[in-house]
Amino acid sequence: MNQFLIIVRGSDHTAASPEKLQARMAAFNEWVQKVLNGRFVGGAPLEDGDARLLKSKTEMATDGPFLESKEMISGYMIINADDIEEATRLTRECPLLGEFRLEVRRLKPMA
Amino acid sequence: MSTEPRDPRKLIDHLFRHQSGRMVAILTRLFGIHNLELAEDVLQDTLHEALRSWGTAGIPDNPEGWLMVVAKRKAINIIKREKFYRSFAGDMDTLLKSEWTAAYTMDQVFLEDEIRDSQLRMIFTCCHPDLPAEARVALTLKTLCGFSIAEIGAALLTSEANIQKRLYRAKEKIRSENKIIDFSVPAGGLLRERLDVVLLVLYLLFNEGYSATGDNPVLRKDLCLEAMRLGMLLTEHSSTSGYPPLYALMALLCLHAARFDARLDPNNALVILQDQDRNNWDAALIDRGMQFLALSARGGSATAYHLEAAIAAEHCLAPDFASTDWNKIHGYYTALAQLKPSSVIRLNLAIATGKKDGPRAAITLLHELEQHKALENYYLLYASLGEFYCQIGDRHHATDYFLQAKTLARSPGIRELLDRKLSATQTPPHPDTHS
Repeated sequence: MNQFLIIVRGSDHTAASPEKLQARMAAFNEWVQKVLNGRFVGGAPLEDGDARLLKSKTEMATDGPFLESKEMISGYMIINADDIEEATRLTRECPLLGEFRLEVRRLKPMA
Repeated sequence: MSTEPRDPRKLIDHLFRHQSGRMVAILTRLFGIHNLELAEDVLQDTLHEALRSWGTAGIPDNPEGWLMVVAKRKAINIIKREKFYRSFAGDMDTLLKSEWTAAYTMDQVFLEDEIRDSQLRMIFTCCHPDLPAEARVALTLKTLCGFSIAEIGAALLTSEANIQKRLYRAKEKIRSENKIIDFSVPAGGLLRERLDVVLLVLYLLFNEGYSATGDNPVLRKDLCLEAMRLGMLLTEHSSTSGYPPLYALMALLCLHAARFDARLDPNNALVILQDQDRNNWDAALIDRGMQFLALSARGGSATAYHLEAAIAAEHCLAPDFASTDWNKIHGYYTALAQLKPSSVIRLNLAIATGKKDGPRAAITLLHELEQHKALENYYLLYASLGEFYCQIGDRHHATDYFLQAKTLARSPGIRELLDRKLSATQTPPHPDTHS
């Protein structure tokens, strides 16, 4: 069993109605419970606002967004999967996909 | 079934009692059975907040909803605060700890279906066969029925310290063996076996309330109503409904409860069956009981609950005491004595025999039972002997046995009843005694 980091890229600037947010949340949780089915390890969505980019010990930290908004990281999740194929297959069913881009990375196991 | 009291203090007591079981069940669903004590702390905290807030602002329009919302908020705070070092319910621990899923998971748990499901889980946990039998009843009253330690002590006729000890040991056992005594509705072949233990606990709970050996009639009636409420919960849930002995037990409870108010006179003294005003029997509960009895007949075998319910039904359906079908009742008691060979059932069989074959037949059987250790301190044996001796006009023996019964009876209501019997034996026998 390996662990994979799913990086959620892109940012959602459209103000969604409460109903739409509710439906989105329900779809996401359904994916966690039915598709991941116990393989969800953790993670969190990220705030757009409070962000600093530090480039060195001396240089002034800059505010975000640092990149094009579609490159911005809006959240992360960690899941369990056998290999990158399975992790990809599971992630492809995530309802965030479409509005966001999802990057799947295998965590280096502890030596 | 129960009436809502008007007095605000009573209203709050009533509401707290009835909401406590729901809240502890749902909080335990979230936190996990190993955190039962945490769930109870959150409940207490919520009730205190309600008292504080309602004392100044008045009781809100939807107090049940208010309590649930506050309990939920407190649960969220605990999960946020303790998520790095406390584990919650196994199947939702990660979901409650991630910001992606926490709020949604929480909302789903607080839906009505899930609350009902959690209470069912709690029933099976409190009635787990690995817990000592006496702890099951106390734990059920505490966590599912919202009884205080003092009330449980009063209901089970033992000291608060004793109840505290029982609860403490039971919770220790649950905490250390939470893989075995878990928080779930058993499935498959295990379900029936576990359900039988639950039915037994409900039966005992009801009997504690119905046997009138305590002197707090309101509390005792609550015990009966709680046993019925938990039984109803089982009949409403798809995994436990459809089990014939459950319906037999529910029939038994309804048919007994139908006579609840008619059994007590205005001074809370016990009124025996033959003197009860049958107009005061609760016709709706009798109907309900008969419906359950019909549902219970779908099973292959007759359990003790079936037979006891059938006996209760005979009494409920007889228009008056004189037209009671003692032949049928005698038949049911005979079957019951074979199924469950207990001295108390043989005592009842002897009484039914007396009604069917006359007092002398009963006196012979009752004297045999005097040798039974289990009955040696049971007032009903001596009260029955007194009654049958009275019927054959042997006032001397009747008085002796009524006096002996009176020294053994614990309940003031029953002692009063025996006093009436005693003064009746002093006067010439009633012309229409049935012998």
